[in-house]
Amino acid sequence: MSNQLVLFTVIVITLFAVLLAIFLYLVVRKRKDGKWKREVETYKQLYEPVLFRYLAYGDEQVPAPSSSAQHVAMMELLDHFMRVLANGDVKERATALAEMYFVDYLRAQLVHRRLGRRMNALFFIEDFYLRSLVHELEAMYEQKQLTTMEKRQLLKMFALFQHPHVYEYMKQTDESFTQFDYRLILSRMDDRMFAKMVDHFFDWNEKIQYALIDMIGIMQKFAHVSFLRTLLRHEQSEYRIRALKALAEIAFPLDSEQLRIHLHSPVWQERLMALRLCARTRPYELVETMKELVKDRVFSVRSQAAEALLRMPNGLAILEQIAQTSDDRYARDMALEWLERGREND
Amino acid sequence: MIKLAAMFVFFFMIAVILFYTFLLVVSLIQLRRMYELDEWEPYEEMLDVSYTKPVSILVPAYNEEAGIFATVRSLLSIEYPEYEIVVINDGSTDDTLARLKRDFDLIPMKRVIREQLKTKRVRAVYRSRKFSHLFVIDKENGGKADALNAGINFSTYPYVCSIDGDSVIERRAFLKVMKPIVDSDEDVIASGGSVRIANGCDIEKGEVVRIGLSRHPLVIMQVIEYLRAFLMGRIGLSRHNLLLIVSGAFGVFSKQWVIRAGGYAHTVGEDMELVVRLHRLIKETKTNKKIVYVPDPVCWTEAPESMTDLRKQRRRWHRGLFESLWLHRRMWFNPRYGSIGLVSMPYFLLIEFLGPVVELLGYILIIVSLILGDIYIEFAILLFLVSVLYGSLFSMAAILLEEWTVRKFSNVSDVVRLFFYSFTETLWYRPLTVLWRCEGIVDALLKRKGWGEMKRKGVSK
Repeated sequence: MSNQLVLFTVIVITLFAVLLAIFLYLVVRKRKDGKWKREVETYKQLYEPVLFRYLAYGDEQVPAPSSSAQHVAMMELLDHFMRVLANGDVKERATALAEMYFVDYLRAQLVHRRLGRRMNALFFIEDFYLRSLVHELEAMYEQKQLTTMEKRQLLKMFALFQHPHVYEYMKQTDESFTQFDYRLILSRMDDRMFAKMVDHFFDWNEKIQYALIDMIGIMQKFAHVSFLRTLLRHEQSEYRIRALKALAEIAFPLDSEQLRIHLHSPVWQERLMALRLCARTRPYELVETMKELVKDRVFSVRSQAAEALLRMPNGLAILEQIAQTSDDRYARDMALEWLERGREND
Repeated sequence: MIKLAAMFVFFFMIAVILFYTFLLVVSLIQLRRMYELDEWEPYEEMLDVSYTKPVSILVPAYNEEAGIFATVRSLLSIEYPEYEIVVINDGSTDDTLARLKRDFDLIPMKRVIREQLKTKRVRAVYRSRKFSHLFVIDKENGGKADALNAGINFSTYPYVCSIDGDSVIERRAFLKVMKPIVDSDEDVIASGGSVRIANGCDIEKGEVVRIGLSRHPLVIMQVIEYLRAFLMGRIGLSRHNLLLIVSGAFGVFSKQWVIRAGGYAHTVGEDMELVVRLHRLIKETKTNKKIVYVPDPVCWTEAPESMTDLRKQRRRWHRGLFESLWLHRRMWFNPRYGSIGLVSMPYFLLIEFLGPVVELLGYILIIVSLILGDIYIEFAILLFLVSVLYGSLFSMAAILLEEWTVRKFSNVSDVVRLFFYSFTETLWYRPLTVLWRCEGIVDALLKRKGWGEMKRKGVSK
C-alpha cells in the first residue's frame, strides 16, 4: 500500500477515535447530569413546604443552601413561586431571601465564561430586583467584550433600578439597539424618569423617539397627552402617525376639527390611525367623513373606516345603508363584512 | 481512466468535507454560546400583545383527514399573544372538510378577500363557533402553493406561517421563531425553525409529551439526517445570511415581502423557491433584510417508515431542488447577488444537487475496483474511507453536537443508539438515498410530474 493511503487511513481512524472519545465523555456526562437533576428534584421537594410558608406568611426560617444542587433547587422554586404567588409581600420576602443567600452565587455567575450562564444570572437579578448587585452590573457594562444580548439586558435593568446614569448609557447605544429594545427599556422606567426622557425628546435618535411615542400609548401615560398633541402639528408624518396611534390606545377624544385634518391626510397610514382613534372615541360629527373613507383606495383604510362606523351608536344602521345604497362595490362589500362581525358580537 | 475518476471523486469529497467542517465549527460556537440559557426568560416579554406582531398561521390541507384534527388542535394551544389559524382545504376528495366542520363547529361567514395573489376559486369561507381565531377556506384544488396563496389573501395579520397538514408545533415555538423578527425591528423578513421527526415520540392532544426514538432503523437514520441538516447545515448558513431553505414545515414570513415576491410558485419545492426569490428581491432592491434560522423552535413531523415512501419523498425533494435552482439559474455564480450568488447557489448546485452523482460514481468505482482487483484495490480503499468520512463521520459529529448543545433526548440509550446507527450510515442508508436522489435528477431531466403522495396515518394519539 502506498504511504499516502496509509496516512489517510490513519487520519480517518484517528478521527473515529476522537469522536468515540467525545461520545464516551458525553454519555458519562449525561448519566451524571441525570443524577444531578434527580438530586435537585429531591431538594426541591424538601424545600417546597418551607419556602412556601416563608413566602406566603413569612414565619419560617429557610436553611441556607450549601451545595450547588441546593442553590439551583431553591432558585428554581423561588422563581416558580414568584410567578404563581406574585403579590407585594411575596416579592419582598423573595428579594430578601435572594439577597441573603444568592448574591455570592450570582456574582460568580456574572463572570462565568459562558454567555448562557451570565444571562441567566442577569434574568434572576432582574426578576428578584437585587439592587445590591448594581455595582457589579455597572462594571459588567463597562467591559469591552460585552455581547449585544447582555448590553440590552443590562440597560433594561438599569432602567428598572432607576439608575441615574441611564440617560448617558442610552446616549451611547449603538445601531444594534432596536425600537423594540428601547420600548422594553422605557417600559421599566418610573414616571419621573420617563418624563425626563420625554422632556428631551428631540435630543434622542429616531428609534428612541418612536419608542417613546409608542410607550406613551401602550402604557396609557395620560400626563403626556399634551405632548402627543404638539406632535400632531409636526411636519414629519411618522410623528403624526405614531402620535395618533398612541392617542387611539389611550382613547383620547380629540376635537373633531383637528381629527378631520388627519382623516383627510394624503398619507394613508395617517388616515388609518385617525380612523382607529375614531373607532375608540366615536365622534358623531365625523360620520360623513368616515362614510367617504369606506370608499378609500387603500384596503386597510376602508376596513378601518367600516369598523369605526360600526362603533357609532347607530353603527349597524349606517353600515346597512352603505351596504344597500353605496355606489362603490368595495364599500358595499366592506360594509357587509363588518355588519356580520357586528351582529356576531351582539 | 479509473485513476482519474477516483481522484476526481476523492478531491471533490475532500473539498465538501472542508466546507462541512467549516459549517460544523460555526454551529458549534453558536450553539455552545447559548448553552444552558434559560429556556423561557428571553421570551417572557414577548407574551405582551403590545410588543409582539400578530401571526396568521396557514395550514394547507389536501386529503389530510387523518392528521388535520391533531394539527389544528396543537395550534389552538400554542403560547402566542395574538394569532389566527387559517386552514385551507385545497379541494380534498376525502372527508377533510366534513371533519373540520364537525370537530370545530364551523359556520359560513362573509369576508372581503383582498386578492393580492391570483388563486383558484374560493368556494366558501368558514369560521369556528368554538374558537374565534380559527377559519377555514374551502377552495378548488390548485396545489399546495395555490392553497398557501389563498391563505395569504385571506389572512389579516402582517406575518404568515405555513405549517404542513401533519405536523405538531411545540407550544412556545412561535414565540421563539418570531423573536428575531421582533428583536430586529422587522429587519428579519423570514425566520425558520427546526423540523424533527415525531415517530417514536409520544404525542397527546397536539403536544409532544415525551421525546423518544423510534425502533425503526429507517426512521432512526432520518432522525440523524434531520439533525445533521438542521443543526449543522442551517446554523452555519444562517449565520452568514446564506440560507436558501426555510422549511415548508415550519417558517414565518413577512406577508408584505411574500406578496412583493409574488407569493408561492407552483413548483415541487415551493418553500425553497420562495426563499430564493426573497433573497433575490432583497438583493435587487438593495435592502438590508435578512432570512434566519432559529435552532430551538421545533416542529414535529411524521417521517415515512417504508422504503417506498421514503424513495418517493427523496425523489420529489431532489426534483424540487432542481426546479428551484433551474428557475433561478441567472443567480449562479453571479456577483450581482453577492454571497447568495457566489456561495449559496453554488453550494446547493454543486454539493446538494450534484453531490449525489459524484457519490454514486464513487460507489460504482469502489465496486469496479474491487472486481478488477490488483492495484485497483487501493482506489477502493481510498474511496471507501473518504465516503465514510463524508457520510458516517459527519453524522456522528452531528449527534455529538446535538448532545453537547441542544440535548433534546432525555434517555442515554437513545443517544447511544443514534450514535451507533450513524456509524453505519455509509454502509447502507447513504448509498440508498444517493440512488434515490439520482433518480430524482433523472425525473427532473425527463420532466416527470406527479406528487408521490405518502399515505399518512397521523402522528397523534
